Amino acid sequence: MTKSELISKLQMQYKRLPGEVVEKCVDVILEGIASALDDHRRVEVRGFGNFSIREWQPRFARNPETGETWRTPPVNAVYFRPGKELKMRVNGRGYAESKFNNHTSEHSDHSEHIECREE
Amino acid sequence: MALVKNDLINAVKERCYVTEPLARNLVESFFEVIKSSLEEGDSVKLMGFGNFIIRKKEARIARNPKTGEEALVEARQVVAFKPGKNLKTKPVKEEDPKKESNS
Repeated sequence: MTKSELISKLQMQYKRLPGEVVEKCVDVILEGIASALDDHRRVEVRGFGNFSIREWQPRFARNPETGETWRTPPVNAVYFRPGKELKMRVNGRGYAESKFNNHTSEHSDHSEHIECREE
Repeated sequence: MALVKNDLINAVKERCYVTEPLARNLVESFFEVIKSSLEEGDSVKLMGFGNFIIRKKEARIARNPKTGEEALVEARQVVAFKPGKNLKTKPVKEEDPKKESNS
C-alpha cells in the first residue's frame, strides 16, 4: 500500500469531508511524528507501536579491502517497535495462542509496558 | 516527553480545522488502515517517511538463558520499519563538547 492508496482508503471512509482535508491530515500526522523524532522525542502510539531514536556513537571501522581505519560518523537512526495489537494481528491467530501471550488481553496497557522494558 | 496519540489529534484538529472528535477518528482510522494492510501481509510504503514491511521469521529453538530450558519459537511474522531518506540519518547535533574531544 502506498501513501496515495492510504489516502484514498481514508477518503472512502470519510466521504463527507473534502478530499484535501483527509490528505492534509495524513501529512500532518506523518510530519508530527517526524518532527518529534527530529527533536529526539519518542513517539508512542498505543496498539500500533513506538518510534524511538537510537544514537549510534562513532566507532572505528576498518575497510576490509585496504585495511584502512576510519571513524564512522555518529548516526541517529529511527527505530520502530511494533505494539502488542499490531504484533498479534500480523500473526493472525498464531501469535495470540502462543504461550507468551495467552494471559494478557489485547488492549491491556500493562502488557505494553512489559514489552517496553526489554529495551 | 514522548509524543502520544493525543498530540497528533491536537495537531490534526488545529491544522486541518476539524472538530476534536473528528480529528480523533481520523488519527485512529489512519493507524487502523495501516494495521489492516499489514495484517493482510501488504507492506505500507509512505514516501518521505518510511516503509513498514513484513518479515517472515522461521521457527527456531530458543533457550531461556536463566534456566537453560529449551523452547520452540513458532514461525511468525514481524513488522519492521525502514526509515525513509528524510527520517533516516539526521545530522547529529555537535553541541556536546565530549563528543568532539573523541575525534
